Amino acid sequence: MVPMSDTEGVDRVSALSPPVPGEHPVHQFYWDAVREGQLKLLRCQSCRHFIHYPRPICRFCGSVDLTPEPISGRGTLYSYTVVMQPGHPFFMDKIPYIIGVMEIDEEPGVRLPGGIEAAEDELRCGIPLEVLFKQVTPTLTLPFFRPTGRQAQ
Amino acid sequence: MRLHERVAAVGVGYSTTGRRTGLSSWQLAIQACTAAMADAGMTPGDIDGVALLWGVAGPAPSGLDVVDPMNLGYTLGISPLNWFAEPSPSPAYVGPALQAIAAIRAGFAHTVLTVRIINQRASSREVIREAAERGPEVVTGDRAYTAPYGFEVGGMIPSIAALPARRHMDLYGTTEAQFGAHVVTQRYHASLNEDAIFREPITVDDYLASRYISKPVRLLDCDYPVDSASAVIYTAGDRARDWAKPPVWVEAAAYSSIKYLDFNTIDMNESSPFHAAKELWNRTDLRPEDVDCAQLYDGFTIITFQWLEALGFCKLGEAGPFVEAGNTRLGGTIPTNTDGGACNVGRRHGANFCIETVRQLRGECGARQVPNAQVGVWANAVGPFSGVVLMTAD
Repeated sequence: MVPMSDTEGVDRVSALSPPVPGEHPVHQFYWDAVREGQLKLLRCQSCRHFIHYPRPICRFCGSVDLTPEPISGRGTLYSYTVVMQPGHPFFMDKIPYIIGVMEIDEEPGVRLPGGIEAAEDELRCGIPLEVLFKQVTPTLTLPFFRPTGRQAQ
Repeated sequence: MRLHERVAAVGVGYSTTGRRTGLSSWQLAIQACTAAMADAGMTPGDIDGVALLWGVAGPAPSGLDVVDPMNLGYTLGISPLNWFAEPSPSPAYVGPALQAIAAIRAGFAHTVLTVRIINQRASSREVIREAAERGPEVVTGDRAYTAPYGFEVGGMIPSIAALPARRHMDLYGTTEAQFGAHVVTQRYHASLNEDAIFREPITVDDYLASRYISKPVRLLDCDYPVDSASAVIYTAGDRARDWAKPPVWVEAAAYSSIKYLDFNTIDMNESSPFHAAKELWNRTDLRPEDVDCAQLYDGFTIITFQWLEALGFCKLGEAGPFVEAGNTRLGGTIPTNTDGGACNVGRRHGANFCIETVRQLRGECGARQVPNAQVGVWANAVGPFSGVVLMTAD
């Protein structure tokens, strides 16, 4: 544990919330869907590839006909890490915590970073994951990923 | 290729280097440039181009003064300045280096001063304090997919280092002791380098006892943030033998970007270094087995592993056993990071690897000299973007 004496008395307001997703014309649909408990990714209506992170043009065929579509929320664990040192006031009392990347079942190579809801010894690259929506603060819910077949806690 | 289109490195130099030196970016830059000109036996009138990269990769301390190529050229007395550039975004020092090499080959300049100026980044404690003072933060665009989960630790340690390292372990069986073997080897090399900051030899047990930042990345896997500037002067082939030291020739170089600037969603264990390395070997008749020493970016241990694999010194996934068997140690098949790496000489953001290659190929390295070194390779950055340069002795 890193000595954090320099950070004693940090402002309690910022410690109450992590950085929060803000409004953005290209990304708005993703966070709107999350608020409704859904995962949606931008999909090219011409060649059917998912484009993530969202971009205003399809990198495969050049189409600008891109529409958010729901995905299953299932995939495999691409990689993960147990974070042992905080980088933001909100996480000072959260360490250790696990973050990682899920590759979605719908398309190889399309990956979503996120929080991982699991014990460290349950995890190995390649295991199946599913999405859950976790209330991080009273006003912020984010998609997390957990090994499939586990009950919500 | 005609002689004037060949490019050689003819001068190298460092500024004072250390933790919070109190020196401004301008002071660091002038010191490094002056040292490189002295090394080459040049005056500013011999130079007609400047390419540099200024700034902190990661959270910046407040109050830094911007150094840009036009102002640096003018301040040094380079007039007229026939060519100037600052790549952005840039995979660290190799950005201005490759711009300079390209400009000389194209005939836009005959002699280019390249500089990497990098002040010590803000500490994690300072970052947390500043975040606390700033209050609730809104993030937009790509950062919104990671920052709310706590991905931003020590800059981007989870994304750049921990996720690829974990995947390397799970896919290929790489062990933490193998990461440690690399750290121990680099420290041994540093013990032979009078300019290194950390010179006390360590063991794998010392490594395994050092604290985790983001598993499996430990403190000792991370380069050491310092204030420093590094400068290298490149010149056209028809002028290369006019200076104080023998030229070190650029045999081939390659630059690669595989995606927009994101470390989280790329193919982590076969990222841009694999593409840059493939191009590098396409551009030369030399082969990996011809290389006498390698200086491979060590911002984090896993990056050096990836370059060893990408350049073909070992097979994909085999860097762990390759390093553990002593291949990268002085006396091994491919001595690597012979100055001790940025973990031990301080974070020069790739420039130290160019400078160490030049010094090895000149035979200036004393106790850490690779005997009769004729071919060296240095590589910089990883993930979405990177670059690599192959050099030969005169």
